[in-house]
Amino acid sequence: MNRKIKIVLCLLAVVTGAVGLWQLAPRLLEQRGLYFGEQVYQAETEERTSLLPIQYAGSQVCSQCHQAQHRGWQESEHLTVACEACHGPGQAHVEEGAKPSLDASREACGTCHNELAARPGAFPQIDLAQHNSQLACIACHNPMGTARQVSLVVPTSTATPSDTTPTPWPSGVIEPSGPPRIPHSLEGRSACMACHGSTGFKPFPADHAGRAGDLCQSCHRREGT
Amino acid sequence: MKVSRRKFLRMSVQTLGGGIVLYVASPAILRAALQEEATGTPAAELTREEHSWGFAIDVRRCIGCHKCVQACKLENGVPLEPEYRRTWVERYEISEDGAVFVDSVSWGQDGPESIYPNAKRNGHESAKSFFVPKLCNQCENPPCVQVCPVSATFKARNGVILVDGRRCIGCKYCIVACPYGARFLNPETRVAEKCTWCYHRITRGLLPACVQVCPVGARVFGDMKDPESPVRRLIREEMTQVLKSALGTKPKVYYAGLQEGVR
Repeated sequence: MNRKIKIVLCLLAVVTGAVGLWQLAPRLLEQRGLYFGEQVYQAETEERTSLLPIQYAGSQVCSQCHQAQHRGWQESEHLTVACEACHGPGQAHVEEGAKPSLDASREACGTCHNELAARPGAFPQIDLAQHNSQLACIACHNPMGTARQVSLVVPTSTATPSDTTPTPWPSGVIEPSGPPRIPHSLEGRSACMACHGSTGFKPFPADHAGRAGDLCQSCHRREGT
Repeated sequence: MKVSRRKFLRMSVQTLGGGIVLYVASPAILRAALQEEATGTPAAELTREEHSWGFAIDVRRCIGCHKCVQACKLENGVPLEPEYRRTWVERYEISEDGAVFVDSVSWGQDGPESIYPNAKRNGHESAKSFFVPKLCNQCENPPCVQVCPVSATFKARNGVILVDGRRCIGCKYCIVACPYGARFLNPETRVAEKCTWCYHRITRGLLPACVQVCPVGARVFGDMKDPESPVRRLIREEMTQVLKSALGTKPKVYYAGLQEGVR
C-alpha cells in the first residue's frame, strides 16, 4: 500500500476518534459520572438502602390483631392519628413481641394539645398549666373513646392530686354525654364548695376525695349545655 | 514468540471489542444479579419509569407536635440529639413590622421538650405565628450531587437522592452546598446523610414514617405520575410553591399555604 494513503488513513482515524470523544465525553460524564462503572455502585446502593429494616408497621397491621381498639379508634376523634403516633413504632412488637411503650402523661397529650400561638386556631388546644393541672388527662378524657364530641369518661378510681400515674385505659364507664350534669343555675354560685364541701348540705361523693376545690366544672357542666 | 502483523491487529480488535461489550453490559449484568439477591423488593418499584415520587406539605395544618421528627429518628436510626435531624419543624413568628423570627427545637429523647413557650421577641409583638415542616427536597437539579467529589451521593432511578455510606468520605461539601440545610454529618458513621423520603419504606409500598404518623395530614406523599395520588390532588386543588425556586434546583417538595417570609 502506498505510504501516503496509510498516513492519511491514520490521520483520518485520529481525527474521527477525537471528534467522537469530544462529542460523546460530556454526555457520558453526565450519564455515568466520573468513575468507571458508577451505575453498578448506584444500583447496589439503591438495593441496600431499600432493604433497610422498617420500624413503623402502620395502623393497618395493628388492626389485624387489635380489632376492638381499631373499631373504637375509627369512631373516635383521633381517627386521623395513626396508632404509632402515640404508641410508638410497632414493627418490633409485630416481629418479636416487644411491648410498645405508651406515654400517657399530661405532657404526652400536650405534645399536640398544649396551647401554642403557632398552632392553627381551629385545632383543640388547652393551657396545660391551667386546665386541671393536678389530674392526668385520661382521668376524664378517653383518647380512644367512641364519642364524637368531647370524649369524657366517669373515673371509677379515686384519683388524688398527687397521683400522677394514670389509670390504665379503658377503666371507666364511657359516657358520651359526660358525667352527671349540674341540675341548677350557676348564676351567683361560683363557689361549689359552699354547698358541696364535706361540711355542706350535699357533700361531693366520697370517691372524689382529694380533688382540689375549684375543679368541679372541668368535668360537670350545666344541664342542657 | 513471533506474531505476524495481521494476527496482532486481529487480536487487538478482538480484545478492544470484547472490552467494549463488557463495559457496556457489566452494569446490567451486575444489577440483574443484585436484584435476584434482593428478595421482596419488586424491581419495578425502583425504576424511575414506574414512579416519580412527590411530597407536599400543607403548612396550615401543621400543629408542630414533632411526631414526624420523632418517627424519622426512630425509623432511620438518627441520633436523638436535637442537632441531628433528617426532617425538622421550623416555627416562624412574624411581627407587625415585618420582622421574622425562626426557631426550631427538634425532638430529642424527651418528647415534651418540643413544646414551645409563647414568647415575645426582642420587644416585637408577634403578629402571626406558624409552623413549617422541612425535609430534603430531592431536587431535580441537586447541588449536593454536583459537588460530591467521590460521587457518593446520586439520584436514584425513582428520583430520590441517595447517599452511599461506603463511598462518602465525610468532607461536608454537600452540607455546605445544600441551600435548604437538609444534610448533616452523622457523628457515629461520619457519613453526610439526609432524608431519603424513607427509601426503604416507599420501595416496599409503604408511606414515609413522617407521613405515616402526622396526626393532622399536613404531610402528603405520592406518585406524581398518578393523577389521583394525594400529592397531585393537593397540588391541583391548592396554590402550592417550592422553596427558593429562583435557585433552579427544582425541588420536589410542594408547600401549600406558605406565608410570605418563609425561606
